[in-house]
Amino acid sequence: MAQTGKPRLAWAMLSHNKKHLLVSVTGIAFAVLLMFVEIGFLNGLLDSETLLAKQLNADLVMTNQKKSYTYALNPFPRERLARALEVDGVRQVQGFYMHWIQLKNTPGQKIHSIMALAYDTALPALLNPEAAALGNALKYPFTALFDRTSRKAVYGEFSPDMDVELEGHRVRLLSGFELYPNFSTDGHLLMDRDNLARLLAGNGSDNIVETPEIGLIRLAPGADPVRVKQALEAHLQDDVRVLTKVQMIQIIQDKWKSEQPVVEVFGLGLAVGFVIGMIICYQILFTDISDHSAEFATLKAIGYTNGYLIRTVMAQGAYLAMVSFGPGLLASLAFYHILQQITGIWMTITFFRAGGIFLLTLVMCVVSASLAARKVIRMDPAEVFG
Amino acid sequence: MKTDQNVEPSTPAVRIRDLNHYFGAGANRKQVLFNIHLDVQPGQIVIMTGPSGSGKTTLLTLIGALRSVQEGSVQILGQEIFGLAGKGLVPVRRKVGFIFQAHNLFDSLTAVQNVRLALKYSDFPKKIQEPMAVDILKRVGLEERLAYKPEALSGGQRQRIAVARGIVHHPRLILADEPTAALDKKTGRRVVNLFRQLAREDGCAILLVTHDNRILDIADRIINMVDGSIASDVQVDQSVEICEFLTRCEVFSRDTPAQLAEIAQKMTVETFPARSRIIRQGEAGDKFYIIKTGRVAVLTSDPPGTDLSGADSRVVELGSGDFFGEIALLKEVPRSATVMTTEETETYVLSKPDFLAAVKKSDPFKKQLLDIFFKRQ
Repeated sequence: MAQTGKPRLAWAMLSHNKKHLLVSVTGIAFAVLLMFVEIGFLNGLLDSETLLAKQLNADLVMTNQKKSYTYALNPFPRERLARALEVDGVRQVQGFYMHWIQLKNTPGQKIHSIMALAYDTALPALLNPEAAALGNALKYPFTALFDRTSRKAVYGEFSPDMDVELEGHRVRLLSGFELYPNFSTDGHLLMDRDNLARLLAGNGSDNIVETPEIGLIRLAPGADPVRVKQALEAHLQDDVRVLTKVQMIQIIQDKWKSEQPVVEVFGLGLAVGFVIGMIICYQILFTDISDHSAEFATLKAIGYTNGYLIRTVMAQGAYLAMVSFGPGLLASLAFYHILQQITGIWMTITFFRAGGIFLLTLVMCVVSASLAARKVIRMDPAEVFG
Repeated sequence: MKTDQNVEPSTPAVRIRDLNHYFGAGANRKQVLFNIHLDVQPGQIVIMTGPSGSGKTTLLTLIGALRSVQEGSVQILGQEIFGLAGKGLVPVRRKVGFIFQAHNLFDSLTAVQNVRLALKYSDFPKKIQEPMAVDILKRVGLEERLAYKPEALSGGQRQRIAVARGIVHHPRLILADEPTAALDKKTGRRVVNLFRQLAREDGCAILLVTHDNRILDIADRIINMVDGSIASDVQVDQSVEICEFLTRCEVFSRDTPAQLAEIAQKMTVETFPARSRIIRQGEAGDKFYIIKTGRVAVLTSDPPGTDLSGADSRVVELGSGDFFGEIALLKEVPRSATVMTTEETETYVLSKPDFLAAVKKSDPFKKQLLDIFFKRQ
């Protein structure tokens, strides 16, 4: 028989008026969007700052003991890297170079700093197919790849085969790759280490090739990273340290979290989103209860307990969270895309983050539902008569 | 229901003693119910009337365990509810069937689902709850509307869903507030017949607040409340019988029904075994009698000489519907005859003050009586 069966009161009440439901879902989805945007900024910061570390083609990395986050430059002597090769299990080492260089895109434009990444392009140092594919071409003097996602507002437009002025030299940009700007740099260039050395040769710097920023260590097949790491630490001087990629990423994130009030700022934003969502949800459910106060009082009159009715309202809250989360997630993905276009910050929603926001949404709705449900307790079943 | 099996057949569905109720507190405290006494037996259909503010709704909410009893005793289906509050009242409510004037159906649920709400706390297995709801909706004539939501139905159809919800769980006591107000003649009759069936077949006690005079005929009793008290409590069958007796007599035949009903209401039942004396000649008269069932002999043993009874000693046989005892009351004289039962006799009795008051109210009544006396001589 159509539309009979056990009465599912909470869902029936919530979904009965489709227009009302749409408004409710929009409200809660908005709160979901707010929360996603806040964690989006926070994670965008942490993600974009660690993106380079994640792309390093290495089993272990070596950095200066004092190096904190990726873009706080603190190189170490190349000799340390060479010594790493003496340790059992190490198959290959490669220096990875970073340097701020001055870029002038078109004649007459202002000069801006850009982060130059360099390595011996014969060996792919980045897990980046575009960079790897163009390895050989980068051996030509005064050539580079440009980060397609670099901030155009700062550097202007990059395009393949265009020439730019770097440290006073004319350099040919061959093509693009993607690394995304972040809070440290507005963009990246990628080149062979010899080309970086050529650019910097004139301004009195030491030979850059002797001072890598990051040492990439690749292990022999079957070697245990933890054991090799311990061996390396024992073998090398104290001015460098050896990290797994995961450790390196963790150190970068910890650095940002501890030295900048980012967690507080975005955490507060998240709380605001949560509270706004609670207020919206409370308002929706309170109105709904008020609209159905006669029906609720009737249920009390025929022997329903306060507990049952409160659970019904809480279930309404839970259902509202469930149906609103999807639209909220979709809206957030769209909004992330727009924000990424505007800020260039790499923003993404992982399964884990989506799950976290879903739980927050659920808690938000159920808690505010339980607050709204207090109205049910005050209802007088005697008022139904008369 | 399980709990109902504990209720003895003789236990009144409702038993109220010395019930007083107040609204407000302190200086604003206002008494709304005064010393209510009321027994409602299983199978009885009671209609409560009275102007708004007379306390009938308050009484109904107290009987339905919708508010706490403040003073006095209220027993519902054998359970005392004085002293219960909040959660304690909830199980009592589940045994009662409520039909509210504002039917308060959930717009989001179908007719069947709305009715099923009332089965949530019943002992009926989940499996049969749906068929029960369907069945009861069929009985109120909504078999074509089972899966409709209230907003797609007429006021009368919604009302019938509310009726179905009130009775689906087989309550032993039904409290109904204007259950037929939104119904047309035919569907109203259908609901009324259903009530009658519940009362007769299931022994369900039904308390109705209604102003719908089309359904007065189902009442076994009509209770009229005024200013927080029970102003009258009429056993309808008995009253109707008395009025019929009264109108059959020439004396009362020209009284209005209202006058007759007023007299009837004040009469009580007295039963005498066979061969017993009801009144004795020469005693002071204090009551007026109508014979309900049985037969009596009227004997005048003394020789004539008294002012009204000039005839010889004689025996008159009186039977059902006949009356006696009026002369001594009207004339303030001793009984002019002795009345003996010849078989077991049930009488309706009116006390002297009530009788005189009734006579005084109606001059034509007095005149008629005097005419009768004149003819008797």
